Amino acid sequence: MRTSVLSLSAAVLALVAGCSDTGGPAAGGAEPYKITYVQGMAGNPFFTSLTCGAQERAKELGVQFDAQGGKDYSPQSQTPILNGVIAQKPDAIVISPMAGEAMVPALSKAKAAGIKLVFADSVADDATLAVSQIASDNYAGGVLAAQTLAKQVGEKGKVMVMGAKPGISTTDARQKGFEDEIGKHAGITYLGPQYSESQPATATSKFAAVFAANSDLAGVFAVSTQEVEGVATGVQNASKSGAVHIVGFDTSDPILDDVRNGVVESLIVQQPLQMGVDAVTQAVAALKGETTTPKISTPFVVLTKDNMTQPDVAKFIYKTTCD
Amino acid sequence: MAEPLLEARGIRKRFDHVDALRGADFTAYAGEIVSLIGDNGAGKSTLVKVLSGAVRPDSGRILLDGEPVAFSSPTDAQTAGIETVYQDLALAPALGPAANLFMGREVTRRGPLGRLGFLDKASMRDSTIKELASLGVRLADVDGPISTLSGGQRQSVAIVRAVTWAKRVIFMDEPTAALGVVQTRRVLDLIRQVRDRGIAVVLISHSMPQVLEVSDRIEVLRLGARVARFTTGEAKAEDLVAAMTGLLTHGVTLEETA
Amino acid sequence: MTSVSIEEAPRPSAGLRRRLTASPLTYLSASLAAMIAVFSVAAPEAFLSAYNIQTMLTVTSVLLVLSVGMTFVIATAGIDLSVGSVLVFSAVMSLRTMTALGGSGFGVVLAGFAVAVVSGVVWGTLNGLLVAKAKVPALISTLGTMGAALGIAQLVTGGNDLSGVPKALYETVGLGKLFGVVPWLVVIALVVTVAGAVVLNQTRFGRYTLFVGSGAEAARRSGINVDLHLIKVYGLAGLLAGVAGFLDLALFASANIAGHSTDNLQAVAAVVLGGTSLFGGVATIPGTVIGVFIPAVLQNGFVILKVQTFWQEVAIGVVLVLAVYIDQLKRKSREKS
Repeated sequence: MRTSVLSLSAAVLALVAGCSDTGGPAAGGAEPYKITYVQGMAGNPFFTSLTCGAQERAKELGVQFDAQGGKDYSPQSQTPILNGVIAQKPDAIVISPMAGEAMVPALSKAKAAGIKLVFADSVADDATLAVSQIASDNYAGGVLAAQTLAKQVGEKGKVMVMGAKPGISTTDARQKGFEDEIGKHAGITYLGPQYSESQPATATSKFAAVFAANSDLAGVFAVSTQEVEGVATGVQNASKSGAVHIVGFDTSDPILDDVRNGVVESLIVQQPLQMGVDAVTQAVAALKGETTTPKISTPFVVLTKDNMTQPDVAKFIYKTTCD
Repeated sequence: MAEPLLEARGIRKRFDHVDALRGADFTAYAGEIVSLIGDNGAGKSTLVKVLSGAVRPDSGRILLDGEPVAFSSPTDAQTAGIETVYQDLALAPALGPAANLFMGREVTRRGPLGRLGFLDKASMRDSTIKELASLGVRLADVDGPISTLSGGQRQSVAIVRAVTWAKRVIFMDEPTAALGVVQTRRVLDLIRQVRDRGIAVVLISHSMPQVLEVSDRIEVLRLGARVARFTTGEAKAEDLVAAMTGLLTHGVTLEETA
Repeated sequence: MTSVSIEEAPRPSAGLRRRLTASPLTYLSASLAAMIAVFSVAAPEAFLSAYNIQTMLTVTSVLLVLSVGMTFVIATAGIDLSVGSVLVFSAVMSLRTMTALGGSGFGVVLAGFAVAVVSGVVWGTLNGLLVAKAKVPALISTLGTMGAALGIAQLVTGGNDLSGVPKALYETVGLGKLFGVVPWLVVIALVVTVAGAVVLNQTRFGRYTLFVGSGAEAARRSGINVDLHLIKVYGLAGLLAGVAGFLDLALFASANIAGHSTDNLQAVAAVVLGGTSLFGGVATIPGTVIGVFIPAVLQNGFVILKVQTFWQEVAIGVVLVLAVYIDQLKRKSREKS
C-alpha cells in the first residue's frame, strides 16, 4: 500500500518533470524517449550500480530515464511498482524481475501496449517478451565460485552452500552452478544447502548448527550479501577466520571490510554497471527499430584481498550512489 | 431522621438540546438503602453521574454532610467517600480480586522500591481476604482471575471493592440485573450488610419487587425531576408505577416538580 | 445469615498448585526440555558443544530483547509491527553517529548506545500517540511506522548496509564473553529479560499494563491515565527495539537494512507461543523466553540432524498453532458463566 502511494507520487512527479525540456535530440525531433528501470528492489548497491550505468548511458543517448524499486526483494513488492510504471506508458521498461512466472502477465500487458521490454540481471519465464536479456550468467557464477572455493580448500574437505530463499532465479542459478561443479571435485564432500531466508541472523544460526555438527567444515559458498554477512559472523564467533574459507557473491561495505580482514576470502563480483549501460543501449536500439542482441552475458570478476585495490577490479565494486 | 448525608438540590443538566435533569433533587441518609427509580429517560444515570463526579451539573447544589461540594472528577467524589458500582462492574477479568480491589489505589512497598512503583502484593492480598471475609464473601481461589468466578461472586467483589474505599455513599447500578435467583439473594444480603455499616446505599433498579423488598426509602424521578418520595411500607408497586408515569406525586412540594 | 457463599475458605497454596499444574507455561517448559533432551541424545557433540550453545544464545538475544517489549504491548491487547524497522533505523542512526564521532573509544560507543535508545523511544512514542490519542488501531499505526522507519533508514543509507562499527563495540560486546564463557550479548539480553519480568509482575507499571489490556474502561474509571500508560508501553517497545538495534550492530559489525523484515512476526509468535494473550491482560516474560527458544532450538536441532528445511518450517508452524490452541482450551475450561 505504502509503496504504491509512493510510486504514484513518484509517477506524477516524473510525468511533470518529463514534460519539461530536458532531453537531447530524439528520433525525428520529437520528444525524447522515456525509459524506466524497475529495480529488483530499491536501495541495494547492485541495483543502484545498474541504475547508475543506465542513467549514464541514457544521458549519453539523450533519453529520459528514471528508476523505481520495491522495498524488498520480492514479487509482492515489485508488482505494484511495475503496474504503476506501466500506467505511466514509458517507451521502454528495463526490469529486473523478482519472479520468473509471476511477473509474466503484467509484462505481457506492457508488451501488448507497445512498451519495449529489456530484462536486466534476472529474467521472466517468457523470453519472447523482451527485446534483450542482459544478465550475468548466474549459473556460470556459481561454477566459478565452486572452482574458487575448491582451490581455496586445497581440493579436499567438507563444503556447504548458504542459500537465500528457494525461488529467486539468480541465487537458485548460482547454487545450481556451484553444486554441479563441486560434484566434479572428488576430494570434496558437499554437505548440502541451508537457506537463510535472506536474513543474516538465520544464516549465522544455520551456519553455526552445521559447523557444530561438522567441526572440520572447510568452506562455505554464500550466494549473496545477506548470506555472506551472516556466515562471516558465524565464522568469527567460532574464531575460525581463515580456517573456514568463505566465497561470497556481490559486495557491500561491511563485506569489503571482511575481505580486508581476511574473514571472507573471495567475492564473485558482477558488473551491474555494464548491465545498465547495455540495457539502455538495447532499449534505445529497439525503439529506433534497429536490431537488438537477444542475450548479453556480462562477465564476473573474482575479488580478493590482494586485488581489491587494483583499479581494474575496484571499478566493479558496487556503488552506493551514482556519481 | 438525622441530617441528610448526601443531598442534591435543583440540579439542572442539558446535553445538546435535551434537558436530562430539570431541577432534580435527591436525598440519602447514612445507614439506609434508598432506591432511585424512574422510567427510561427519567434522568437516573445522569443524576448518579453528577453525584459521583463523572458529570458536572449546569446548575444546582450538592451537599455532603450539609456542606456544599463540587466534584470535578470521579476521583474527587472518591476522595469524599463516594463510590460507584457500575452495571458493567468495571473489573479487569484477567486479574485477581486483590488487584481489582486496589485498582488505581495500589499499595507500594515501603522505602526506595516503593518509590519505583514496586507493589506490596502480600499486604494487598491480606487486606483483600480480610475485606471479603468481613462481608461474608468466601472465594475458593482468592488469587485466580476474576473471570473464573461466577456472576454473583464477581458482583460481590465489585461491591466489596466499593465498600473498602467508600466511607459514605455507594451508588449501585442494577446490581442484580444479570444474576439468577440464588445469587440475587446473596447480593441483596451483602447490600444490607453494607447498609448496616452506616453507609448510604443508593440502588438503581428496574425491578419493582426488589426495590420494595430491600429499600428503606424510595425516590422517584420523572422527566429530570423528583416527583415522589416513599418510605418502606408507604408504597405499593402500583403507586411506584403511577409516580413514574406522572399520575401521582407523593412527599414532594409542588415547586420541586416545576 | 452472614455467609454469602458456600465455598470453603481460601487455602493459601490451593490456587497456586492448581495454577502450576494447569498453566500453559508448565507444558511449554516441558516441551522445550523434551526437545533439548531429544537433540542432546541424538547429536550430543554437536548440539551440546560450547560453540553451538553460545551461538544459538547469542543470535537469539536480539529477538529476545524485541520480544520482551512486544510482551508488554500485547499485554495491552495491542500489537507493534514496527519493531524490526525501528531496530534498523536505530542501528543506522547509532552507527552513523559513532562514525561521525570517529575513534573507537568507550565514549563513542556510549554515545552510539544513547542514540539507538533515543531513536527507539521516538518511534515508540509516536506509535503510542497514534494508538492512544489519535485512536488509530495499533495494527494500522504500527504498520505505518514500520514503513516510515525503514523508509527513512533506506533514504539515509541509500539502501546500503553500513560498516564501521567501532572495534570496542564489536570485539567486546559482539564477540566477548563474561568469564570467557557467557557472551556479553546474552548477558545483556538476560538483564533486559529479568528486568522486564520484574517490572511486569512486581510494579505498578506492569499491573497497569495488564489493566489496560483486560479492562481499560475500568482502569479509566479508577483514575488511571490509560492513554498515558499506552504511550509509555509503546515507548518501551520502541526503546527495546533501539537496544536490539545496538546489539545487532555489535553482533554483525554492520547495520543491515534488509534482514529484519520478519522480526516483528517472529516476536509476536514468540510472545503468543509463550502464553501471553493477544486479547490482553495475561502476560508472561518467562513464557516469551520459551517462545523465543522453541523455534530456535527446533531449527538448530533440525539442521544438525540434517532434517529437510521444509519440515523445519512445518514443525515450527504446527507447534505454534498447537500451543495457542491448547491455551485457548485451558482458557475456556477455566472460565465459567
